[in-house]
Amino acid sequence: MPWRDSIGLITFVLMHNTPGGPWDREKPLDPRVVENLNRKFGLDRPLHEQFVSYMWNALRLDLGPSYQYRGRSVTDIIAERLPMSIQLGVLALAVSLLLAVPLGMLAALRQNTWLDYTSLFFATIGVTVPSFVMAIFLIMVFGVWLSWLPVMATNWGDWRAWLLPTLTLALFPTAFIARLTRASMLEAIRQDYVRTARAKGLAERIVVTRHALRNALLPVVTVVGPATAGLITGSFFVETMFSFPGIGRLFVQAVSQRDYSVIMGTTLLYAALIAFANLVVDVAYGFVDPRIKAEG
Amino acid sequence: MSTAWPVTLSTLLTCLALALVACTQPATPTPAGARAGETPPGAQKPGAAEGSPSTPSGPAAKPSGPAQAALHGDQTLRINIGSEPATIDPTLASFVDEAAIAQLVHAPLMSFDTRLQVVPGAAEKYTVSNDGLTYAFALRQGLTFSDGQPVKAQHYEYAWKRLLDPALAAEYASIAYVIKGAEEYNTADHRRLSAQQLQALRDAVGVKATDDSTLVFTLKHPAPYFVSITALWFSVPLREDLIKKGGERWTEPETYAGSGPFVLKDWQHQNKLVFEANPRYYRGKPRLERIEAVMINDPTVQRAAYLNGELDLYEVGGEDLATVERDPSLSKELLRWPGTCTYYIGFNAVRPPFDNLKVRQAFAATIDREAYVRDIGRGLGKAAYSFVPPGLPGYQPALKQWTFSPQDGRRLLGDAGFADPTKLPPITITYSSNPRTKARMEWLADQWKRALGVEVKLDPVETKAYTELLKKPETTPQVFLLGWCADYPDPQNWLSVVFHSKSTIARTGWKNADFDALLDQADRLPDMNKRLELYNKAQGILVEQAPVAFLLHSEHVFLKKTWVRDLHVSPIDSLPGIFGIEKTWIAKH
Repeated sequence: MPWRDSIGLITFVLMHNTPGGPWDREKPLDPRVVENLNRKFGLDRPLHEQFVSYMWNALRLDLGPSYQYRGRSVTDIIAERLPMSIQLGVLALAVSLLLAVPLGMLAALRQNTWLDYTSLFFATIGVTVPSFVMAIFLIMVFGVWLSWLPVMATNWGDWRAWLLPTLTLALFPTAFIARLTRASMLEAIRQDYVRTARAKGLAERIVVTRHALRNALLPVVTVVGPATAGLITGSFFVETMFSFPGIGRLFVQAVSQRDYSVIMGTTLLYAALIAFANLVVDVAYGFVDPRIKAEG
Repeated sequence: MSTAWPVTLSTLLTCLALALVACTQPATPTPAGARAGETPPGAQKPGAAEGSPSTPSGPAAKPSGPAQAALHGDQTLRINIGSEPATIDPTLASFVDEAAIAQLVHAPLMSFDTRLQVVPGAAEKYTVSNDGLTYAFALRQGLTFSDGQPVKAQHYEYAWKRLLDPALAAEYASIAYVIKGAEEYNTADHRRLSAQQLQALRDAVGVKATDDSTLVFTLKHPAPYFVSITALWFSVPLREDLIKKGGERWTEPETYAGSGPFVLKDWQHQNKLVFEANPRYYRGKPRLERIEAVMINDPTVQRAAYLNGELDLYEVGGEDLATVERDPSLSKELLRWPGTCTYYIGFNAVRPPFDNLKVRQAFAATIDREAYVRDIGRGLGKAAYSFVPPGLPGYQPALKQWTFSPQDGRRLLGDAGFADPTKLPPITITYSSNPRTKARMEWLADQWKRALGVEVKLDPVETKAYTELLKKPETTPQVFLLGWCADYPDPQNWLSVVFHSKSTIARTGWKNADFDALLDQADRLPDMNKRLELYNKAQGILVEQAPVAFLLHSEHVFLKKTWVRDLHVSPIDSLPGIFGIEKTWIAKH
């Protein structure tokens, strides 16, 4: 696929044109040691050779060794971290959809009541409070004040360690999707077909769920694709606050440490994931939007 | 209006929530890690031409310790190493936390006491030949790995040669270049040479186990500081069989056998490392039963964990220091001791205007270092007027040529021909862009503006871009901020390694023949007192010539739970109390 190669090329060029390299530390290394390191990792070869060799290996899923984590291959590291981020992302998405859609729906149906205002209030907080602020807030509340959870919860086999990171990560999507659902629901229930359905004597519940909601959800479905991609690629802040071994933090650290192979590997991975997520959205449209099904 | 009160209420609630969060103010998450300069080994003992066994760290007799009743049931020390270590292979370790783990599990040839003297470690004594080129270390009897295998001198020889193996490209290989044949082996292009050629180079390296308990080093030239180097974390016995068996994963607990105070029991990646006491340690089984090292990235979470009793040690940042000092209970847990880093303002001494000695001196004389520590450092650290920090050999407290004096500064500038400061060429300070450094730079620029009337422009660049600029004298900024953390406490590791004209570290481009000559002599003399005399003279020249303006000596500041006892700290600690960790214990609480 040509787009994969062009993404790889753009990333490679950008990476190598950014000043600094993987061996540049605040405390400088002896130039002879740097030469050795460049030899070991093949960084002394001409750039085009490095690129071609990298992409050729990448085709066979050999993403090279990491320069930061000595002795570990990028494939290993990604295989370790990606599932964690996927799990966290999917959990956060599930939580946010479960909370946001009903909330948005109710807010629309009970417009201008206290329910509406309260949910708008929380939605605004969710959209404006940065994730790392919310993270530390939750840690203080549940860890220090209530002592329901330990402050240092890094045993990811234990389900309780996943609670706070999921909540924190779900915050923005919940708020965003709730507002979106509310807005689109408001529009949907003003449509003619809803009035028709009511006039036909259908129960309000059926009017809302079978007719209005399905159409109101279209914008939400549009958003779910990119939202999933965003959640799966990990949030640097959430991962740092909870010391979560995810791919977001890995990527940001790799960029600042100039770990070229991790940067390339993760970028290509992200590109693939986002493409896939958008594909899933297109398919989902077919189910939700009757107009598309009729044509396709 | 029916919408008024909800709006007011929500605004109030939001403000309250934000205020609550603000009061537990985090520092922004940073992915940075400290490089392992923090291991200044003790200098040689004065007159230690003959190695002499000193401290009674001999046979496995447990030192008389606390009464059983005073011991807490769970002798576990809980520490935080910040993040998953990139590697714990002693040969490849270069960051502080990596070196700490290597020092917990493995036993170097020599060691340091808390006064930074080099003392016997796994080797009970050493001898130096009269020409200063040959060092022979005698290993203790009865040394074993944690799996029961005896430790032999050949294990040390293997480890040192592995450090120099070009295929491994260890970052600390260059510290061993003082050994004969080391540089030739390490700089060989292993891709072009045959296996025999490489083996020949390896065999020519001046490290040999002449028998099971004697290790002989042959140096290229006399280097009295070499003994300090043999006390570092890579100078440990390694098992070739285990490394071959484990391959890239030999650092997992099954194959990571060492002869140090603790054994790596469990490594839950991204979560924690668990160490258990090694009953076979040559100084006796440690009092602690376990050490648990977690990997909490964020300083605020770390702090919350300490306050919640989940951590026993916590490194205090500048932002927290004032709060901690004011708190009645926390201030009792505060532990401060000198560090092993010195920070300085470097001048590009090959480009105008700082190629002019008087200009450099003028700038050096107009920094109020005490105010810097107080206002910028928030009380963390100590004003620096010379290079070698307090507590380390070579420290000269009386060497204070450039105390803050705007008068002197202006006079010097006048002597340089710039009585009118606007005649100076434009001056820019370039620095690594982050909020802390920005505050420091703005403060400095303000100092010079007020004291000298000089406008200094600020130029922040991204961290890696900054290190890239410093690589060449043409791109090196006119004024820049740097620091140096020593690997071992000998003055050679300060003055010669950083400021000798052959060094690439200081970046100032400054050269001085007298300075070099003093160092060349001092680096090779066997007698420590004579060496110190020469180093002192050299440091005097360094300060007077001011290619850099020293700013700050670092400090270790930790909060330590009162129940952690007998934690003996030293400036070079990778982990507080690492030299003597076998004595630490947990009191009943």
